[in-house]
Amino acid sequence: MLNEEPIIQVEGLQKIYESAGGVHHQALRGLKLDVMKGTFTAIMGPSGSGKTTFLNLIAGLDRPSAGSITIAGERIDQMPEGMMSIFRRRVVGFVFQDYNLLDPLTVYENIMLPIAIDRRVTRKDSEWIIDLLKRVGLEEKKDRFPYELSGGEQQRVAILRAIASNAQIILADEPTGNLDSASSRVVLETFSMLQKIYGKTIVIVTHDPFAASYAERLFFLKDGARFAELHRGTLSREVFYQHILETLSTLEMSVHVQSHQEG
Amino acid sequence: MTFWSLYRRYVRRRWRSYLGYTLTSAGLTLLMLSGLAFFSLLQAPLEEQTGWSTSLKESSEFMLQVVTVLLLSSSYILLIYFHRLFLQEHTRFLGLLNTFGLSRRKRFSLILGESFLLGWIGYFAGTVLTLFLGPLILLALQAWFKIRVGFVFTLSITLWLKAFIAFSALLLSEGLTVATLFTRRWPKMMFQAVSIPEKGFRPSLWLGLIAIVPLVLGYILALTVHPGLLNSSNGSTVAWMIVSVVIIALDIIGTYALNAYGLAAFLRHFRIHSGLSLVLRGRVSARLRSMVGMNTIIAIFLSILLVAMVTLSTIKTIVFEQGMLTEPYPLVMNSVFPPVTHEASTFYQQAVQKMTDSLERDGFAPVTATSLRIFAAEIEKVPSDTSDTVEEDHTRQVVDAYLIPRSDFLRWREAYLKTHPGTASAVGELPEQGTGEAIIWMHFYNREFINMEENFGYTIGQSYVVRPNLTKPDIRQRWKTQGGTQGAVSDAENAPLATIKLKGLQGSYANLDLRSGYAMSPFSTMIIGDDDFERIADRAPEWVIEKTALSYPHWELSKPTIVRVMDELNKDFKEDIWIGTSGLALYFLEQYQMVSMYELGIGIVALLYLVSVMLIVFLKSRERIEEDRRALYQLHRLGMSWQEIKKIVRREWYGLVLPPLILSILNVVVAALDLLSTLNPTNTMTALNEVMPIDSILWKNMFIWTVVVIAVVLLMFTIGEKLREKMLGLKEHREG
Repeated sequence: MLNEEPIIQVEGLQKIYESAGGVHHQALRGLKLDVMKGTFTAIMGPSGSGKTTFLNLIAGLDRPSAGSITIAGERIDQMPEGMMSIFRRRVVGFVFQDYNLLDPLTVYENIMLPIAIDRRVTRKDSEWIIDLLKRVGLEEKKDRFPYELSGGEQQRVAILRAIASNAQIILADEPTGNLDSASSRVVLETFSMLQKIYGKTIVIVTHDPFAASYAERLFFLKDGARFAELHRGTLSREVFYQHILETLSTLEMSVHVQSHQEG
Repeated sequence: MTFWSLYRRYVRRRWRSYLGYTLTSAGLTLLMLSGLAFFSLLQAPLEEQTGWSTSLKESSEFMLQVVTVLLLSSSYILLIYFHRLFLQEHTRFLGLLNTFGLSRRKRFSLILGESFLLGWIGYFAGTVLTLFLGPLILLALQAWFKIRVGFVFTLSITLWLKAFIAFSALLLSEGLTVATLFTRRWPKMMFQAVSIPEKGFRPSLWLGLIAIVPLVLGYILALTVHPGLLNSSNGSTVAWMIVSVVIIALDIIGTYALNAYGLAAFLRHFRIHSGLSLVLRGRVSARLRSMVGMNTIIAIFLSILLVAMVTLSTIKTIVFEQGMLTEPYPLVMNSVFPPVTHEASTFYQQAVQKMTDSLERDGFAPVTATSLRIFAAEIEKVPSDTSDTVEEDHTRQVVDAYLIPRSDFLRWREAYLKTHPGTASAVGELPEQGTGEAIIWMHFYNREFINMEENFGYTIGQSYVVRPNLTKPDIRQRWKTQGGTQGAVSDAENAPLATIKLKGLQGSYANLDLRSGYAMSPFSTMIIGDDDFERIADRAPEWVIEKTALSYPHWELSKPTIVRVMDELNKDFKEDIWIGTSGLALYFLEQYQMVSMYELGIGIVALLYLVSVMLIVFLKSRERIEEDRRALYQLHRLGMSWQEIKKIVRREWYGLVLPPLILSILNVVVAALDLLSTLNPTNTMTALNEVMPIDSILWKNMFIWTVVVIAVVLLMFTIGEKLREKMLGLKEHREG
């Protein structure tokens, strides 16, 4: 359900990396965008556009070089380390492209991990985890280890892990990048379910227009800045998908023209 | 369920990865404790050394301390290295915990706690390993080096506690360092750290040339300045030690610089003829850079190993194996001083028999007993001698001499040669002598002794008057107890017995000192004709001492038997009976023990270092196995055949092995030249050069040890290379 209140606000965001040999690379150049609470948002762009950098910054996994990041009313770009840990525990949940599940822990234990980091796990938490597993059809596999699951199943477990501690925001970096189409569909529908039923705010970074079509709002990044924005509104997913493709081709053409001019 | 209980489950299920670091810690503890235990065995014998010069003793103690410091610091470096490798494997896990909001305090506690716990478990496991394996390794090495002395491996509680405290301090500092480093990192850096690419490196040729400078400087110091500091008259042991440290430091810095810059710089300027060469050059340059620390450690460890083993084996060969062959009759038992009573004579014969039986029982058979008659004399120079060969006499007028008849001496020499076959040239021949002529038989440890003006009263061509030796208090005392003159000596008692002329000074490496308790004293035995001896003995029979020289193999190990029998004989000690022994067996046994212990200690430490280093190289190559595999498959996609790729992998591997091997050989050659320059002619050992050329012994030992060590290193590297190829999946790829 759309909400007019922004839960993520980014203003003038910059990130400069310094590589070996002293070469500076500016990944983000004054990015400005807002994500509304309870929405499903996708970030797209060509390689090097800064989308993963953006995601890492709003997840608190890295520190910006300049600009402000406000999440759930808190400025996280200047947050001290102690509070940042609490932020990572309770406000955001992160989903990695390669799942990053811990093989020595079972499915159930992997999902429990963020809760255990935050506090003592109670029976209520256990019931909550079982409920989540039921919703994604993995209850019977709760005692299996990650290497015994398929890619899609592992990613679903990773998603559940991200929301287990009741994080308001789920950030996912290429969540379908390593999955086949059928598994991708299941994962994206899981995101949709979390948004609709639990009111979570979902932000995914993706190359895949099909994955992006599940979002309600889509930002295109180019060279570390916002290039375009699409709203799905009342469009069907298929129509929205076409709009995405058109915007992508425009984006790619402009990238091609620019590089041709620079060359 | 709490986080810590979940963490314990994680650790339990991943115990293999934790086991790796723990076992490594245990292995390094074994290395450290064994080395310290062996070196502590050397302390007491070193302090008890009586026959060594002060400078030699001080320099030996200094080297012992240097080796101990090297051992401890090397163990610590290796421990830190393995710990960092272990942590790198856990970086992803730590990054994930950080992502999920585990507080910095808990992450800090986790890393620190793991370091401590695993380290201590490793230390205690290593202690157990040391207690079990230490004695076994000692036995094996004693068999390998053919050391018959029975060393006992002990690990004192004090030593263990000291090592434990030092180890714990290291764990604490290392744990705090890494905990601080890792908890400061942002999560993104933790995930990135898992796959840091190897950076290409292209230093300039000038940088490469500058990198050689410290090494060359160290070599120059070792070859020019260093030797003269110990053996010159202006030399100083302290200065020698300081320069030793400087040389070692320059060598370490130079080795590092050469690995870090020099080799890559030279590689860069090689002509490239093919894609294979291009790829190989890039990979080797990058790999040399990333493995610079480890290659430096390998080069230094191998150098220490080779230098130590070559030096030890050379000293052992010179001092013991050759010296022992030429050293006869360490055990000389003296008879009672005349007049001889029946009881005293019987006791003496029984004492000699007891000693002979004990030696044979303890494994020193066959024992040959040679009876000798010695006349204890004083000889005084005849001032009126006008022979042309007489040099101006600046020496004392009256000196001691032990006269021995020619036939007794020859019997003695014959008995010695039977026990020590092949040493006739070392013993030397006795020249002909006429009536009234004497030959001084001396030890050739210091050839310059012969040519000294001040030669203790023995001058070739000089005539001497022979009198009974009335100046020695102990001889005089015994003479008195046998009824000799009390008080002043009468003219009759002091009358000359004969006049003899010194024909020559004859030398050998056989110490023919017949006086009890003396070692290696020259100018003590004067050989005269049998008739001359009989005339002298007839006139003063009370000065004829009966000695028995016992000759047997492995005399250098007979100290325990000698001491035991002498103690038993002394229980029946009678005032008028004097039984003594030569101190040579004790002296040489101490030397033998010392060097053997050094050999053992350094051999053990070196072996363990070698294994540790190989393990590190293997682990280091394993940590990049995924990136390597991707890179190699990429080469294949670009069109390179699997055969070419395998060539790259093999050549690259040997390109990393060869630099430390070559550097270590260079180091040992320079060290050998340094040692040879240090052993100059005034030194005792170099006087043996005529019989055993020291430089050829040194080069031979160097060749043998270099071949052995290189063979072992290459074997280990080859095994590692094969395993690496397997991990890279190259074995599966075959092309026609």
